Amino acid sequence: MNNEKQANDDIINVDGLKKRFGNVKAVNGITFQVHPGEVFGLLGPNGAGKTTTIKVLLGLLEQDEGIVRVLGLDPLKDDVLIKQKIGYVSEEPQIYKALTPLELFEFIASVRGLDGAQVTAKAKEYMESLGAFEYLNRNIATLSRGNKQKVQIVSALLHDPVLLIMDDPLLGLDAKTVKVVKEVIELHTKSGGAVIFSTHVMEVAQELCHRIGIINKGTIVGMGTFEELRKQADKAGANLEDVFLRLTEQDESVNAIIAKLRESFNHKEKRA
Amino acid sequence: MVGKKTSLYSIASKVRDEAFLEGQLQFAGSNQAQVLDRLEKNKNVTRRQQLFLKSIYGVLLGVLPIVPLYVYFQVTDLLAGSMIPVEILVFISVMLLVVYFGMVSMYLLVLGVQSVSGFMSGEAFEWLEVLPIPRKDLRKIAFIVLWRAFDIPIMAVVAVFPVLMAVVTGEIIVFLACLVASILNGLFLFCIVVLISEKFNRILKGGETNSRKASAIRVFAMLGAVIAMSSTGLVINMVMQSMGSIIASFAILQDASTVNLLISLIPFPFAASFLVTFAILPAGTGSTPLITSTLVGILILALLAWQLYRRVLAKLRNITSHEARTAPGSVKESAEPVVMRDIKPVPPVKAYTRKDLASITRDFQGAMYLFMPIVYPFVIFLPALQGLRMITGVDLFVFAMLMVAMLVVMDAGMLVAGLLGIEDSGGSIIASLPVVPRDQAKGKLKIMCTVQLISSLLPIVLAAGVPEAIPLVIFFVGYCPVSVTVVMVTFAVKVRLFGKMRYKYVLDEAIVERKALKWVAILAIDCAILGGLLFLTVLVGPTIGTTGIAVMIAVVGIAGIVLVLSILNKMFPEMRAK
Repeated sequence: MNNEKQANDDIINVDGLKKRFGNVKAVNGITFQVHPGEVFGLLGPNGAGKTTTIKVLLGLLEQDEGIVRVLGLDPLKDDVLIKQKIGYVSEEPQIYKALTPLELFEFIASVRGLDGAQVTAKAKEYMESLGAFEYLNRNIATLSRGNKQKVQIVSALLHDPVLLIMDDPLLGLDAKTVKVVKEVIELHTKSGGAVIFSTHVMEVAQELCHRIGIINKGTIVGMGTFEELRKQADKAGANLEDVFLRLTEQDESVNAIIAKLRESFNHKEKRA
Repeated sequence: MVGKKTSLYSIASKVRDEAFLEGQLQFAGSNQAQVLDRLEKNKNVTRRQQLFLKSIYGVLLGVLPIVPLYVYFQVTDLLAGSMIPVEILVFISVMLLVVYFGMVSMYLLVLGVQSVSGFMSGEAFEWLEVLPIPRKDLRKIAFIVLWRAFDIPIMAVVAVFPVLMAVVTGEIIVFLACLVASILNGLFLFCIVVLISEKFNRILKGGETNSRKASAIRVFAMLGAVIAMSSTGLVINMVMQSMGSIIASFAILQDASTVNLLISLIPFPFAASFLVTFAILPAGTGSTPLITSTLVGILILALLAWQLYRRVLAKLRNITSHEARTAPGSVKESAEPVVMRDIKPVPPVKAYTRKDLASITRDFQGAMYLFMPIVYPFVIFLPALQGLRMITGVDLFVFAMLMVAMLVVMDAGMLVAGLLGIEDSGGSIIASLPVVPRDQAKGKLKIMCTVQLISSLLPIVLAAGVPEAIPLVIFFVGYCPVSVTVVMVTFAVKVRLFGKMRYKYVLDEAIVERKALKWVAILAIDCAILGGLLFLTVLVGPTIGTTGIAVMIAVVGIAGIVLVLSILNKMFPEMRAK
């Protein structure tokens, strides 16, 4: 009974998710939950299945097997209802480049049916906070990657979402903006919202995430708080990077590469 | 491992590719992602496009010398058979040649700007500057790149005219005069193209890429190139047809000797026209003062071309130097304070329409999809009107129907491909928004049907100028519902084949397999519908007459609209987010 209630309260509930592309098993039976007020880190090497998982959560891809519920709803059937309550920041900021940020916010407000005055105030506040206000009337195509990312982050926040899905959101941002975005994430979770956060920067994940799921070759190889992951990897006192490399079975190959590089550099020094 | 030193020519070919891509990205505006996507799919696409465009431009510029050849025949006819005074004849010949040189300059400008603009940003040299390449070699590379950006068209401009004239007249003096005129005018015009391209480049790369100026430049380049490519034959034909009236209006002049003396001093395009005129007319035609003033004009043209060439060299020095490119004043920053107006949400359908219109009109390739259906009626119907004059009755309608069918299928394909293709650039936004496909579809259909309707109504305007084609007006009006049906069918089939998901249809390409085959199927369905209608017309046309055909087509079209709307209604059911 308690488990059932917990499942209903979960913001995200994924159970035995499988997705394949042809012969490739992109996701092979993963299970995880994201609770209210939590930042859940989804970490994994390139091609591990993180983005596929996120796309299934957004209803952009159909799963082959498994149950997926976002805010208690099926993303395939109820994607419109779900998307009213979530904000999404993708790894690559694919936002309409022909528009200016202001025009983009107007488009988003129109599709989401937001109040004009409120959304104007929010857009102004967020753009100023992220140091992108001066680019409001510039064509998005002309903005740098970092500024495009800022526009994307603001786009995801305009409607006060319950759930934020962020795929490497800090990529290309300067230190000041990174600090501000981290603060936004913290404030969001403190107010009861949840975040699913994917990144390749282990320090950021260690600092931000309450729980972490490490995915490798389509399966979850470690899950829990940072301390729990240390225990799972049998790496007491290690940082998340070392824990991650152990759990994804990359530690030995990394050590071999480093040893080879050192040898090569030593050889050059001798030649000089 | 021993490295082999790469030749400057080989380095230049890499820079040329980079410069071409830079130009494409500048003129693509918001559509940059699609340009890069094409490159990702096929790494040779840049080279192929360069060669293709250069060859097409070369052919267009190589065809233009038909005009001076026609001038030659006109002038020799006038010389043989009329009593026109020599100075008037010289004046007429010069004026007709000025039309040719004017056409060459327009074509060079329109076609050259896009080819050269990307190169003038200098960005292709950014990486080269960090490599151990001497500065003088960088300039040599810049020369090679600039030349190769427009080599075929320039060779066509310089070589075809003198060779053609020499072949027809068989006179070496005509060849030499035309060659001098071509080289000087070609150099002069190419330098102007380079300098204008550099100015355009600054605007396109400046702070406000979305400014009116930048958009105007994109539209100018786009429409200019499209019109130039699609209507050269038509333009040449019109110019040659209007020569008779030009000759007639100038032939009544009493005296042109003073005017000749004055305008022969104007270096471009008059001096070279006088030079060619003297070569094609019999020796001793021109008076000594006129020949002298022509030579002075040619000298001024040579000096001007040389001066412009030196300015181009200076620009080349600048673009190969990061320091010169980034010197104070070289980049114009917008000093206007940022003003945030209030965000005013509109109903979703209106928001999609606005967004689609902004996306498609602010980029080069997107705008092509929207403007081409407006250009096609001119390209298809203007030449066909000549044929229409010879046919009457039901045959006239059948002939017109074939023309319109071609137009409608091309328009529908372009509009659907263009408007559904623009969603690619906003993938993240569409993924996160509560998109109701019905609203999205409505927004796009509004634009498609409007443009399709305008394109179908344009033939009425064109036919109105031809008395024999007046009966067709009723046919074109009757055909409008069919045009709208076809674009809606194309849209529905495209979504059915590319966007079928488990619980709904989406406008994005969810199923990307067998793309080419699916498009063939889409166009085949369009052709089958129009073919069926044509068959019906041939079958019952003789019985019901022309008015009956128009009414029948209109009824079939309206029934088609109702049917497709009901299909679309099922594909995109009413659905509102709570």
